[in-house]
Amino acid sequence: MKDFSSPAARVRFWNDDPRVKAIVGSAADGIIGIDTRGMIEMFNPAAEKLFGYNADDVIGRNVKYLAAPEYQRDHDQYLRNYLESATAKVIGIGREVKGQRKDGSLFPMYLSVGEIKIDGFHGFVGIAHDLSALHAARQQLAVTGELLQNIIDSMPSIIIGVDAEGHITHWNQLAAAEPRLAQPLEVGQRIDQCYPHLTNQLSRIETAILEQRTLVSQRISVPRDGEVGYVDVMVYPLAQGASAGAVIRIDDITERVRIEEMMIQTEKMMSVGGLAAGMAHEINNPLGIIAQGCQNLTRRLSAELPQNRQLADELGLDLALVERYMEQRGIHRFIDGISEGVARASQIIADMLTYSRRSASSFEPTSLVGLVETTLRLASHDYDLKRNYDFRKIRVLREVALSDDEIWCDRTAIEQVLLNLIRNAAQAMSRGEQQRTPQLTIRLSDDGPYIRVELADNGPGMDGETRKRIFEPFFTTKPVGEGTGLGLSVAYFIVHEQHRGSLRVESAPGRGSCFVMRLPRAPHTSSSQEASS
Amino acid sequence: MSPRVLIIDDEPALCAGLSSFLEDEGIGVQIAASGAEALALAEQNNGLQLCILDMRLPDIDGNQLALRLHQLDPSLRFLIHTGSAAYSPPDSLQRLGISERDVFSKPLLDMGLLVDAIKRLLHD
Repeated sequence: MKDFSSPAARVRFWNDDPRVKAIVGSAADGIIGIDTRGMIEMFNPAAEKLFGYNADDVIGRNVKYLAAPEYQRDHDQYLRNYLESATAKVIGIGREVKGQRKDGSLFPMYLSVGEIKIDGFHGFVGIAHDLSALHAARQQLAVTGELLQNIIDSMPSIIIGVDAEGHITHWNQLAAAEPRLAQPLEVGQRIDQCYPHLTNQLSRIETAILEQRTLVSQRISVPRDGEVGYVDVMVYPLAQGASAGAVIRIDDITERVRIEEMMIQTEKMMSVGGLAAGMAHEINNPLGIIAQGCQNLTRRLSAELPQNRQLADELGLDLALVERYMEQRGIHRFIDGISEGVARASQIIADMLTYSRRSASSFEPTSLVGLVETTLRLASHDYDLKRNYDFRKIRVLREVALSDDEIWCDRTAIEQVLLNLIRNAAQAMSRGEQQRTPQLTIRLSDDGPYIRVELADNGPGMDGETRKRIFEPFFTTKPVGEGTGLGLSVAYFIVHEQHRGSLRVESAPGRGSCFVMRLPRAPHTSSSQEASS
Repeated sequence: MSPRVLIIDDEPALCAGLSSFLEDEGIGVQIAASGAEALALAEQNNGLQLCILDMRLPDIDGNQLALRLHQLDPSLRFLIHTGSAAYSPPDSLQRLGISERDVFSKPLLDMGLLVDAIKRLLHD
């Protein structure tokens, strides 16, 4: 047993063996020797570099000052506990702690402590491995991960990463918010378990990875808010690296499809308009012949016209008997039927001709409130004995919240639109079987450069199919003969094409219908150049 | 003396229907199926007072015809009876006193209105 009671003897213990000194001196990790009270007795060059102290500065000082403040308080107690009861927290084990440099800055380090008990010497040796670089790399990784997540979250598409078998690895916010999810997204789930409508994409994922090319499926119909929506699904293979996989991108294109449908709608009207303009003259001539023929028939069969009576006298014909005969055989009903048929056909031609008029020359500043009131007055004369419907039975509510009600419009055309919408609402409400009072609410409100006009009824409403086709030319839900199927389509044309506004409908069965029209306050720039044909 | 009206239209059945109605009203009617026929009749100067004029004729544009007829006889009055719904009298015809209310669209669902217009123009 040697005597290590003097500090000099202890210092010699740490330094005497040149081979040990060489190893300790060349170590990349900080190596610190202490006595059982925690006083530093050895401090290698790596420790000097790590903590920023010269060995001479720290030898003889308590080692706890090399730790972050939160460890210092309990350090003496640690040592005592260990010496009295051998309860090890770090000794013989090692763990990650925070060190403190001379300048007070803190850094992460892995500290392992061993106990030395040889020939009467008792002390501890700590090895401190700097974790700063590792922590910085981890931090960088986290930042990069977050940045990548932010990037994919800010994409306006649903983005889902999958492995070669279709198991989910990543996703963005839109993907998680997708209302069609069958179950919450989870790493390792197969994609079709979360998105049942993507089941047939599984084989495409495989193909995309195998052939290293992007696969695109366009206009896939999916359920959306109780009706049909459309998505584009793209499968991008990941560049083949450590693990094969793919990124699935889903774009909701429902709105675009709707706009395309509307454009097709407008196209249809334009072609109807083009046809009508060419045909109108040809059709109106024969219609004129029929209409005039009916009027001549009626008049020349009447006993009231002197010329008729004169000829009848000459021929010895009793005109009164002829009249009675015609009455009993219903001849006038037939003639009236022909006349009504002509009137209807002529109305259809006139409506179709509206499509061929691109812009009206009679645009002028108009008070929209005044126009609504005029139209309501016109509509109030409208009642139909046959169908037992009377506009005056309808309760009309007006909700006007406008800063200025003046718009630039073709007064007659907008009146036609309003009258059509109001009449349709009135007719729809008279068809409803419910007992409540028919009620029409007209709301006018500011909407940026537009005035928004809403006409809401409490009638029976319409189903999705009807709502989609409601503005289509020749589409009607009215009994044969009561509507030409052109009214709303003409209204749509007037609002969209002539006034550069918009017209759409919100409706569901049992919830009434609300037509929403937006009309620009100011003239659109091209209106002055477009001449009416 | 009954008013004398010239119906100018290339559709014979239409002319027949119109003329029958007008004759029942005691109006004297002549018919021309083309611009050339109408000009020939007007040149004869046989007491025509008013022309009912189709705008689309086989040989001449209706507007042009009205101007030519007016040159032949400035006292002639005109009613337009046209198949195109968007017709509006051009300035050249408005200068002759032809206005929107003198335009009748085919099909004429009430020929009584045409008779009223004839009476209005000829009694002015």
